[in-house]
Amino acid sequence: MSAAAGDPRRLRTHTDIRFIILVAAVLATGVFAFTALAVASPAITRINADSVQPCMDSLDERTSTVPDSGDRLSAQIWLANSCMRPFIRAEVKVVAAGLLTVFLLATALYLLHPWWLVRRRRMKRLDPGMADVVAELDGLARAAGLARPPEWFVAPYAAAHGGQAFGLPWRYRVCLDVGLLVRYDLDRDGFRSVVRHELAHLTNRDVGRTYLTMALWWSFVVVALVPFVAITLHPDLLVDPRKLGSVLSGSPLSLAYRMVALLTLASAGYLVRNSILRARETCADTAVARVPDAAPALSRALSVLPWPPRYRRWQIPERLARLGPHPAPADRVVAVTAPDRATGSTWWELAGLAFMVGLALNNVTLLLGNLLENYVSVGLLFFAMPFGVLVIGLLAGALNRPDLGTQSALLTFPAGLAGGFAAGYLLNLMVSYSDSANPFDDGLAPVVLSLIVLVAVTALIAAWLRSVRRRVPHRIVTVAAVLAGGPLIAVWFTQTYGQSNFAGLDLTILPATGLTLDWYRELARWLNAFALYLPGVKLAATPILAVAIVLLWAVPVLLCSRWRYGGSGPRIPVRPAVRAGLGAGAAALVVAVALPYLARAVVPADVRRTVEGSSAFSFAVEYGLAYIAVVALLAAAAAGIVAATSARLRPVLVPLTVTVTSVIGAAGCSLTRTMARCLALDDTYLPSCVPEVPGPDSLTVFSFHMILVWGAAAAIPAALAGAGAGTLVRRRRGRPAFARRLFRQPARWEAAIGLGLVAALLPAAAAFAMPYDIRSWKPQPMPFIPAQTPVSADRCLIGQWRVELLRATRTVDGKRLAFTGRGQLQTFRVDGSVVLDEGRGTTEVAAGGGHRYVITQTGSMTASYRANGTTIAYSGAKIQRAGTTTLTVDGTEQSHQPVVAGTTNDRYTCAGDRLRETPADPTRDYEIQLVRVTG
Amino acid sequence: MAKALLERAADAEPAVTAERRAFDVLSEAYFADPKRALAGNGNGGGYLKFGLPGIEELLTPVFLAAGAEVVKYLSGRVEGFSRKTVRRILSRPAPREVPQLTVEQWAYVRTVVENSLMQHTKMSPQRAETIASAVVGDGIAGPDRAA
Repeated sequence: MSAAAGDPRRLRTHTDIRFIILVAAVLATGVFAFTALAVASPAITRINADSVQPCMDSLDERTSTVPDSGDRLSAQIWLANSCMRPFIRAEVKVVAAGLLTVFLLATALYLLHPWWLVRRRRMKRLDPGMADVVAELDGLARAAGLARPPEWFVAPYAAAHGGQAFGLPWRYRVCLDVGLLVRYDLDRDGFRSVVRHELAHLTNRDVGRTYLTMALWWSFVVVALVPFVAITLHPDLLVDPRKLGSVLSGSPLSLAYRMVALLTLASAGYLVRNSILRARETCADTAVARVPDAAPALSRALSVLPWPPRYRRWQIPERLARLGPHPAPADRVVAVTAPDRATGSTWWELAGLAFMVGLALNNVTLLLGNLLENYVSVGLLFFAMPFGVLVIGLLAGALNRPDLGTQSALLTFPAGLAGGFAAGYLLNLMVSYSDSANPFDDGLAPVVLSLIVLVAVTALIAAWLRSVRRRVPHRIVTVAAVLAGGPLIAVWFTQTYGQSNFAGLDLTILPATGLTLDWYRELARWLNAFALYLPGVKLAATPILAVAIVLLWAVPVLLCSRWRYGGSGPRIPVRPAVRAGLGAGAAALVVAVALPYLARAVVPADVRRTVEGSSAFSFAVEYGLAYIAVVALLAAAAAGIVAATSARLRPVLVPLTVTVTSVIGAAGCSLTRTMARCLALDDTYLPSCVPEVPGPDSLTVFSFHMILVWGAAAAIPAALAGAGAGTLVRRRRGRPAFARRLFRQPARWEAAIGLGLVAALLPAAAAFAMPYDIRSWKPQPMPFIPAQTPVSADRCLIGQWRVELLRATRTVDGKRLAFTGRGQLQTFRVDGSVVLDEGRGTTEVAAGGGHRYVITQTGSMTASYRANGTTIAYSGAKIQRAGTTTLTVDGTEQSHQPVVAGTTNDRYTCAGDRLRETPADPTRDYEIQLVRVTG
Repeated sequence: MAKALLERAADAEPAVTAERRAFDVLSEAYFADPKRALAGNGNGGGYLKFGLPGIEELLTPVFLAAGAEVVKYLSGRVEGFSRKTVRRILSRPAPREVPQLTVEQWAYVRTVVENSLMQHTKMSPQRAETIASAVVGDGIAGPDRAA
């Protein structure tokens, strides 16, 4: 069973984790501070100027002859990594040296703290003449479980009746205020309480942790933070300290952002440090309270402590005092009388801790990402996992308070946690100092959406924990929550870091065919948007969700099963959930059979064909996505019904329902594809009625992961709505009779086997999908990088040209259409730059299948070019004036998208005032005839 | 001398006797740094303390300060006076051979003690007067007090 909330070991672990978080955040921030110092150092500035910058500047040129834009980007990334390598290596050396210095100074400060304290407080060894006092103290130390009593000191200038524990592990010391010594004769029990409290700090191993952490903090301030602030205010300090012109460089806004980030780091570190110290004090109090008859005296000693405290002549406001290193005496008295309430975290404490976790993660990620080079995606996912585990662990710990007001805590705790963790990203030094990693570059929406998703994930885990722990207070429940939620947080991080992908639902992706069929085009647009929604794609390319969903229902079911509790434990009413899942699964199978007939009836044959060479989604893909969407909706409906008809353990039953529906729905994928092939619905495969058997790396396994992701996303709002509706109905009518009957039904061995099979299917599917997952995350192979060719110019090209005739074959709506157009202006300059200007708008027109297609383009872009007499190679295309590309079919607008910078290399012939361009890429088909305007 | 004052103060405040145990520590601290000893808030730095500093009312440093002033006053007015003489005057029972103080001199001693208590411990005037009276004891029983 779980440890009691007031168990000293648990309390110690609780605060140990906080210590680790604080240390990790400080060190991670140190990593970034030293990175910034490295960048500002003369040696690395030289490396940057001499080799990195020229290498980076040549990227466009070196890859300009790569015809395919995707290949060109891969080549540029590959080359950029090799350009940066000497810089990163030098940076890592500086960071390692900086961290080593921090550690060495921290060790020295830690070793010196006893000397410093004795000197500062002018402590004296307790007079051996006070033999009775020393004997009493040694007796208390032995009773506390110490093998050797500490050295006893007295602070002669401290008239208070307190004490202080300090020292090194091989020579602990306890100092008594002289006021406490006086109380030896006046209040022996009070005297013992204070001494026992200090001894508890020794037995709890607080002394080493506390003073080592503080030593590390001050070392960080001296070695990292102060130089870092100096560099912030004076970026050229290490290169040329006399160059005062650069002081306070940057815009006032960016400087303010940096200062806010620094201030937040310092404040959060200070507040978290205080919260740890408060927890340690409470922990020591509860340890004393466990000594027989010691609690009343301790309560008495605590109750006379002054509160709120004073600083010199000023009375500190109580709200502020509560953020200090000591808990309010009244709270300590409560902890002594009710140790179960000793370690309660508040939502803002949780936010502070999560903030520190976020800082630790984000500050290291930049350097780590640079080191990982091509393995950055998968590397960051694995790196973020322990942090995700920690975040959910903190939540689980905070929710483990018996006196917690659960309803509000289910919202405030996850919100505090998620807010703190996200703030660790927004306010970490790396983001505030980098102009390229600004999270608000794409506006507020991506950041807000990311936060909402994080709050939703943590709130669901919190609801699950609360629901399950009330019935099964076992530590495996916490472990399951951590294992299920931690990796999800890691995926969230990979989709948020750098640039949030959560607002990237792209509704402009059209299908390859059927653009004139309104309902089909709109449906396909939405399906494509969801299918290419990056957070979903990345989650579906891991076994994380499959494992998480199984854990959420299988762990409670196993724990509650008859063999574990001998029949006396709580029972989970799994039958309604399984039945709902089976019902939805059966409906999915019906859909799998009916869908090919329906598609054949409503989608014309012209739309159902595959278009050669088109990169847009074909009908076969849209058909598969439509089936997955239907299964996801069925899973959501089943989840809603289960949530509405169940009054307890809904967070367990809903995942079970989704699992059952998804397993059957995935089998339906094979079925519906077999049916489609048998009916020759499309021309992807040869017609055949041989059933498709799902195997490793098959489309069914891939579809299964998508069903899980879409199904879970749809099931969450459906279950919430169902739970709300069910609660309302039950309040009005009372609990339905059938629900009571279901709860009492005993589980049978058949059900156990069935659930076991379902539970085993998901990990099996996850294993089958591994080849696909690995392909999704592993780096691209080294791209082809052409050898550098000498630059040559063609004087004939120089000048402005107007497109007199453009003939191009383009695939639109699944048809290869011959477009003609004119009007674009091309200006080739001597400096190697070219401007492609669409003026007020150029149009290309084509006719086909009884329709008239018109593409209108506006705006202009610039690029660099190199011409060698036969080929023009473009690079570094940039938008000069924003424009749009609009497609209309028979006068009706079908798509309207902003122009994206991009060029394709041309072959050309130039003579006098005539220029002719044709594609260098043989897969393309166009011819452009231009006449000279000027030059 | 301060020890003698403590003994006499115990008549009014029995709790004061507990300070005898810490007398040597407190007096040594007083002579090393009187201001800090009288302030009594030398909590200094560090962590893991029992609680936030609250001041315990310690009279030893106060009596040490008062004693110093008394000696300074009397040594200028009474021949053959020293710190040892004052200690003997204040001890119980007082030896017969020690010089006797006048009523005015006793009154001054009481005023010094009273003022020290009020100044350094923020004690109420009534309580300071009670303790000062206990310290001065019979010596003050002049005409003005008898009235």
